[in-house]
Amino acid sequence: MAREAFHTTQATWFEERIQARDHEALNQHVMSLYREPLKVYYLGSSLRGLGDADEVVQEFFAEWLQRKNFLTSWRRTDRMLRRHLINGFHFFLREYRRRHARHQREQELDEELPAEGEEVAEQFDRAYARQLVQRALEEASEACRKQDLGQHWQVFRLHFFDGLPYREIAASMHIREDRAAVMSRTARRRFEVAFLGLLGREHVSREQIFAELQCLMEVVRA
Amino acid sequence: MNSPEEPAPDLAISQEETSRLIRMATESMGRPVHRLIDRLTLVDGPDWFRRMLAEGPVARLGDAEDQLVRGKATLGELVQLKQASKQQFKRRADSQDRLYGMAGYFLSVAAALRHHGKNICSRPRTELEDTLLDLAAAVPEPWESFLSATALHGSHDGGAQA
Repeated sequence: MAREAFHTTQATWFEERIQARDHEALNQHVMSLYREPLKVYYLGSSLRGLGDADEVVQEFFAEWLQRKNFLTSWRRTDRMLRRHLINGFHFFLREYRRRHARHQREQELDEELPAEGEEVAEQFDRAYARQLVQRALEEASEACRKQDLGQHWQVFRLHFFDGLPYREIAASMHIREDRAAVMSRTARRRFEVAFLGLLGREHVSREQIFAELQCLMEVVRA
Repeated sequence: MNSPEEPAPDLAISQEETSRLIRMATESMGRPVHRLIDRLTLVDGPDWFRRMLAEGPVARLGDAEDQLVRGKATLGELVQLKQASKQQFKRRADSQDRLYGMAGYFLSVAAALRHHGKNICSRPRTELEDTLLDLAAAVPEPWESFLSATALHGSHDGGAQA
């Protein structure tokens, strides 16, 4: 089955990169998907006064993604990568606070970080969902461009985002209405393949991907 | 309206659009027909489709284009084809046989809708239209036009009975 073959390949994406020591690809994946969500998390947290969000998150990536076992240790756990990242981010923020607040009294520095409320985690999850979709749209748009399907992508955008009926799109592009509908589906499939491909990098089986989709549905519904 | 040659427009999306796109992908993944679509969209998809017409349940009708696309098959023949396809999908262990059955099922349902104005399956009309459009995007002509016209317009005379 094509989908199964596709997922098998994608399921081992992380392991393949780890075995090939392709840390650049791994880091690129993590940074492109999680930079914005981590900034949202930081800005919603009680520690948002530690510094500029861009700089804090960048420093986190620079330090923690260099640690060889940070991503490999995640593969040995059951938790989602975003939870693993938040845990790491918490540890990082504690260290960061120590380094950048030497003027504070010793006992203040030794205080545990306050637990962040559920609201911050929800904001992070929503930002992650949006970033995931955004990235899949970009990949799908690029795939359409490379495959000479730019007009298909245009039809999809006009129908899905602008809400134009196929009849209207078809008239303006001088194509048949049913052809416009098919073109939109072709582009939409590029999005779905890109989206599921991104999820497949972090989730092993079809069932796990489906569970993650259900989870994301809940997240964006909230 | 932008022409396809213009630079890609800004892809920034709202929370509501994010939600709709995730729902769309979830629904797609949850439908069994996507196994068939996955197969059809592989590089050799058009060859596979032709083999399906020659070797699958559809072959029993003779010339598939005449019978299904151009509407020669009677409603009774289409119902029989749908049943045989369904049985093949349910009972065969081989994944290719099962996909042949699934393809026969949707092609017979589409032909009944297009040429006889009858929905011969239990799926709601909107779900059926959605499925036929997805399939249309994965098959060669004249099947693409046949399936997309059926999805958008139903029967030749503009409607379909449940």
